[in-house]
Formats: sequence, C-alpha cells, structure tokens
Amino acid sequence: MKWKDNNSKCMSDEMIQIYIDNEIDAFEKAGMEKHFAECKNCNRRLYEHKKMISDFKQSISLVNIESIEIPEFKYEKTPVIARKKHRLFYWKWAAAAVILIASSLFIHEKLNTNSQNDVQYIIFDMSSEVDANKPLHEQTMSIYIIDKSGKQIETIINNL
Amino acid sequence: MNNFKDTYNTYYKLVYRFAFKFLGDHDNAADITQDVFLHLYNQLKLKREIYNIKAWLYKVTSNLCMTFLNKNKRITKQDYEKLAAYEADNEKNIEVVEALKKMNKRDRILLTLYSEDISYKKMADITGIKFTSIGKTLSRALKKLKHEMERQQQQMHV
Repeated sequence: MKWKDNNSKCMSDEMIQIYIDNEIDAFEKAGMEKHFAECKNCNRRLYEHKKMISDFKQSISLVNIESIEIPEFKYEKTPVIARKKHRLFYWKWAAAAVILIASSLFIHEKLNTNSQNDVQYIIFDMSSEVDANKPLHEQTMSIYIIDKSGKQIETIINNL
Repeated sequence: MNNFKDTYNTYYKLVYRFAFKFLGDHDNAADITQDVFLHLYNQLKLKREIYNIKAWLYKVTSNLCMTFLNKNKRITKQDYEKLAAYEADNEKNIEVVEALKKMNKRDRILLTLYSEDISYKKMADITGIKFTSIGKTLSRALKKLKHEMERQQQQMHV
C-alpha cells in the first residue's frame, strides 16, 4: 500500500479547480503551490486541468452576439414565454371541446337509430303449416317480428 | 425611467449572450431577454431596490431559462431546422453550445455562469448549489463537457 501513502497528499480535481479559480485562502494556496512543485503527477494534472478550462473558455467565447441589434423595449403585461404557453393552452382546450362535441353527436345519433328499431318481441308461428307426414326439411316456418308498439315490422316465411 | 433605459441598453447583450449560451437558440434567447427586462421594469415600477443589478439579472435570467427548459422538454422539428441552418453559418460556435445542450440542467447553468467569470459565491447564490460543492460539481461538469465534445468530434469524422 505504499503507492496509496505516497499519493495521500495529492490533490483532488476539486482542489485543482478551486486553485485555478483562486477561490482559496492564502495559507492553503501556499501549501498547494509547495505540493505542485514537489509532485510531478499533480503538476501534470494541474496543467491538464488548466488546459481544459482555457479550451472551454476559448470555445465559448466564440459565441458572438455583437452583431445583434438591441430592440426597443416594449412594455407588455404578460411575459412572452407565458403568452406562448397560454396560446397553446387555449388551443388544447379548443381541440378537446371540438372532439367532445363531435363524439357526443355521434353517440346521440347512434342511440336514436337504435331506439327506432327497438325489437321487443319475436313471434314464431309454425302451427298452420305443420304436416306430420312430411319430413322436417319440407316444413314451412313463419317468423313475425313485432316492435314495442305492437306493429309488425317484418315477416319471414321460410321453407325449411 | 431614464435609469431603466440606460440599464436596458447596457445589459441587453449580457443577458442575451447568457440566455443564448444556455439555450443555444436565438429566438428563445431574445424572448427570455425581453421577459427579464420586463421583470426589471416591474420591479422598478414598484420602487423595489436592486442592489447588485448584474447579479440580479443573472439570477432572473437563469431562473427563466430553467423554467423555460422545464416547460419545453420536447424539441420541435423547427428547432432542428433552425439549428441546422445556424450550424452551417457558424460551425465552431455551435459545437460547445451543442455539447452543453446534451448535459443536465445543473451542469449547464454552472458552466454558463463559469464562462461569464462569476465568483463561486455568486454561483452558489444563483444556482442554489452549496458553496462548498461548487468546485467539485464544476470540475466534473467540465470533464463531462470535454468528453461530450470529443464524442461529437468523433461522430463528425465517422
């Protein structure tokens, strides 16, 4: 475990970051500087970290917005982002309402058509045509379909 | 309200740049900037004092950007088209902004603030991250960003 002992004083990435950003008090800084002078590994890491930060700052400094024009300030009661959101919000409700109305109309129509032909009774009448001498497939069967009010809707006479 | 006009002209680009770095989109950055100054206008109208205008602007901008991102999680097709058009103009610029977009919101805001040379104390104040963990979070975020950029470059070459 000698390796671990040797590196126990070495800096964490966090410490290196704080050191570079100078967010450290003078006493700690002096200690760290001493360590960087002694430890090659930490020195290399410090260099790498510095490079990483400078690369980042350089690449983000390329974001150039100097060419944009400053528009005149317009006072509006509601913020732009909130207004955008509201517009979407209203559209959602409008769409929901349209779908609701359409579907309710459709269901209403369906129910109406069903109630018109509401079959209540089905009467089979086979008595008049029965001839016991004939085989079954030569018998005739009549079916009368009668609705709620007693009106006869359909008559089916079937030769079996 | 002369005071407001001066502030508006002085800090417009600062707010815009911050919003653009964070969102990577010019239209949204302009909207956010307008909203930030609307907030400022309302504050001044109510005669509320703002002691450190720059810090206040950073804080409001980052809060508005965060809210905006939370509400617009889905990226629309139009956004992609805009991005592609922008990428053609300014390829190197978008690389880092694009990499930032892939990271989580906390790292993104921290790196954006870091790029503006803001002290750790103010960063902690703006983001709500503990002051003692700023260094750790920042170094991790920087590493992640580096990896993300390398990954993007590899994809471009393939």
